[in-house]
Amino acid sequence: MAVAVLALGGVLVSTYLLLYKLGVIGSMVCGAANECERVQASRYSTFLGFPVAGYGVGGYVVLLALALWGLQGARVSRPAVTGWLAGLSALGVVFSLYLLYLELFVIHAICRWCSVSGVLILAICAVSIGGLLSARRSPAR
Amino acid sequence: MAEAGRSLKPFYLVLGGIAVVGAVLIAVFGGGPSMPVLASSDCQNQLPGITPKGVALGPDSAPVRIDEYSDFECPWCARFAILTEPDVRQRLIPSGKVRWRYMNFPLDGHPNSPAAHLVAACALEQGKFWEMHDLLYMNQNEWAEAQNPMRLLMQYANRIGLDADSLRACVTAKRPWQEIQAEKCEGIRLGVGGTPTFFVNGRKLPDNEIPAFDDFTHMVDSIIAATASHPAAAQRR
Repeated sequence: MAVAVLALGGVLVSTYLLLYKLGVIGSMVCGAANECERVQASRYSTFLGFPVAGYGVGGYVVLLALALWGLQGARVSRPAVTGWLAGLSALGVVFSLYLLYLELFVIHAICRWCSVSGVLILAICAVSIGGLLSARRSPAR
Repeated sequence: MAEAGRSLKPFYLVLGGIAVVGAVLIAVFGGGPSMPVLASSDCQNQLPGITPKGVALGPDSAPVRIDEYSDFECPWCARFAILTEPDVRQRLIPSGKVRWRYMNFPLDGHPNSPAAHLVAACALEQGKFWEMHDLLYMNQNEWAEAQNPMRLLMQYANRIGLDADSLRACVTAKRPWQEIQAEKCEGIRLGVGGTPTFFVNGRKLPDNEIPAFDDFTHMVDSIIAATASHPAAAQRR
């Protein structure tokens, strides 16, 4: 349940960033220094031809779907779903760390909403790994 | 959980509620198309690899070249555009003596300026830069204070007969932004610190000096006279 709530938060945050990147919404709520806009205006805001925020939306939607699927009781193997959640979110954490590096050392601007997304994916990863470890300790679940 | 016999319905309701609240917040804090940000410091790290062209009036072969670095949100630029520039365009440019270039220089502290420069540059794609230029300066008080300037800028575009869909596509894609960026960075490289700043045949006029039409006429005539009598010396000016 916690992962579903966190993933939904991630969907919302990355959708906000994506809509801004696509020019659908106006200036971002991001403090006076406009650092979110500087990050979004940089060439690092696209990856392999697509907006980075788009990958975020896709990733969080998958995580949300997996988390909801994992709640479907006996029909689903929860350890397997939790394993997928842990693996995918770990990839997300690595990608977020790469983005954080770019913000700190290349772009020299911190996008707060990107940081919120980074915290969310880290939390999802931590909760999933915690769930995985707990499942191994009590295999009956 | 479901396997514990508890219904998931309340959880789904909470999740749905969060989704709705989030969507409403995005809608509330969203507005028109987003605008790029161009800080002067951006020019220190990377100069765009394109040649700044500006928007020119008059023949390339004119003996006097005047570059005006200007910001659409700057009140002094508006004053110049409204009081002096009409004479320049109607009396000086047609003489063939002057090639005048408008160079984009959106100042850092002017939040709505990038939008205005982008819209004007997109109007140039439809051949109506100067019409938009005039409207922007004449209505500066209106759009410069606006929370979402795009709504007003699109009204101006409609007023001068621009194709709204093409303009919106240009603005959304920020097509001319690199050109604007290149012009601003070129200005910074040449020592432009405020607007409007003028260069006459490459020589920067003193800061805070906004010449009147007669001053420009005098400058142009004296350069042409010097060219006629001492071509080499005039070249160095």
